[in-house]
Amino acid sequence: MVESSAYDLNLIFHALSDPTRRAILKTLTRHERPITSLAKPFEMSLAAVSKHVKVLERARLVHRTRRGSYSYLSLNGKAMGTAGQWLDHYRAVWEERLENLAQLLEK
Amino acid sequence: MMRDDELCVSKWIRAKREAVFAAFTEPELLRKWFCPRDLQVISAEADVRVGGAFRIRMNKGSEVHTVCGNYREVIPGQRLVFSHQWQELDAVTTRVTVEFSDCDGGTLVSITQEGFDTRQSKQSHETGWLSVLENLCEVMSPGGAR
Repeated sequence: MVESSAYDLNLIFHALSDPTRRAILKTLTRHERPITSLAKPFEMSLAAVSKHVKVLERARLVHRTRRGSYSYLSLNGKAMGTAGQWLDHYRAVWEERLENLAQLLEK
Repeated sequence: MMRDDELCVSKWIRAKREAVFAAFTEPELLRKWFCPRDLQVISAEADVRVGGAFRIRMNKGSEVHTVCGNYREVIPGQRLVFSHQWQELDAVTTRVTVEFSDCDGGTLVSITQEGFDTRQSKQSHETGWLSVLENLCEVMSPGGAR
């Protein structure tokens, strides 16, 4: 299967393997947020959250934009889409196999 | 870009924050989990106050490793900062920050470690912590991984 060269699946799945980073992505689902606000729900220091943000940025799962003195973080759907495509490929394979199995059992 | 001299990992544990903090600070509890999964803790000492020392010895067969350091910051139930050094290996001293937060009815443990001298050392510590945190998860809530 051809993997998109724009996004690195190793970096994406590594970034997604961590519960803090998944929680950060979840808070960005509806709209972008200032980076300084991301630490709030975790009682975690901004320093620790910033490190997780860097991992997400490196995987290109999020975009950072600067407006005035604030940096805002938003989701990059394309990177998530790349991971989704990879999973979809295997889902399709398994669905076909299960369908074959079902047909076999019905005979 | 993420710097090569720091790592950050986290793990959700199905247990109260105070209990997870205790697991990090009480020697008899540390003895149950504070090592990678393929090792075993032989002894654990922890004098948890600023300036206090900790020392944990672990083994894999005849191979013994000792990790030691001093506490730099202790905020019960919230935050623990300590220096971290492997005694038998000629490794640099790094700085570890552990933060505990309430999350989805459990506790989110976040570990950052800074000051690595090589990328390889950072990577092996990242793998190591993930394994150590698996142990913690197992001890705190058997079968409770998410």
